[in-house]
Amino acid sequence: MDTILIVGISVAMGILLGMGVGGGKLLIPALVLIIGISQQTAQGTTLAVFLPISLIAIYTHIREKNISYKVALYLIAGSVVGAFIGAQVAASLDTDYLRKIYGGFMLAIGFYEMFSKDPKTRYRAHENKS
Amino acid sequence: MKIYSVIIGFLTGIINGLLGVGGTVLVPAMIYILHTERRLAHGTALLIIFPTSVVSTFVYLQNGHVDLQLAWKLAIGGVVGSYIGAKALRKISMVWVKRIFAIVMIVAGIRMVIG
Repeated sequence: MDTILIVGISVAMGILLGMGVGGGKLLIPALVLIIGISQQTAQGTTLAVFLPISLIAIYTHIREKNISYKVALYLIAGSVVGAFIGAQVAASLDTDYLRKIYGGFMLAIGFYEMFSKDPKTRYRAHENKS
Repeated sequence: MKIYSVIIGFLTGIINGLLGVGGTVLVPAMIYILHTERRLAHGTALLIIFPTSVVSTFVYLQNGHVDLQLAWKLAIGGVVGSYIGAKALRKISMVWVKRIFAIVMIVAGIRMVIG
């Protein structure tokens, strides 16, 4: 696999992440379209990449007291069950089919970002961190 | 509210597991449906996504769908990039970053659907 391509993709993803514009959402298509790995492997690898990165972010938010544990509790109870089912479904799907579903999801997010009027939500989160 | 939380959590988990992405819909759902304070929404979303992604990653690993060799290179580049991005944030217009991001998402989305 081309190391220069991987470095370029990962740095570009990181820059977006640092700006608070979801880097993972673009990392998956970059891996599929440029590196040429399967949709499932792109998704699984991206999930793994974000585990250590999000730990650092969580640590920052805990220190800044930006977390409500009460709100998190019931959401986590639902989300871990959903994740288990969702990931099993992803594994069972044909890779071309999963790629098309992901593409549809990207289109929805892209149009939402294009027309939503509230960029401040993201920007404020960053101001809080610094 | 508890039942809404569990349902929103479940849907977040399905998206996380099925598509491998974080909490895209979680933050707006928390703010608009659960009326979570904006200040708390982002941090709390991250806390929710972590155990969720652990479960998803585990299932992907079991199915041989995690390329650890690739993951670790991406993580290093990602950390370097996010440092640059956070520094650059002060000097550029977020509105334009958001627009360019949206266009790239749409173009890549079309390629994913058609390809």
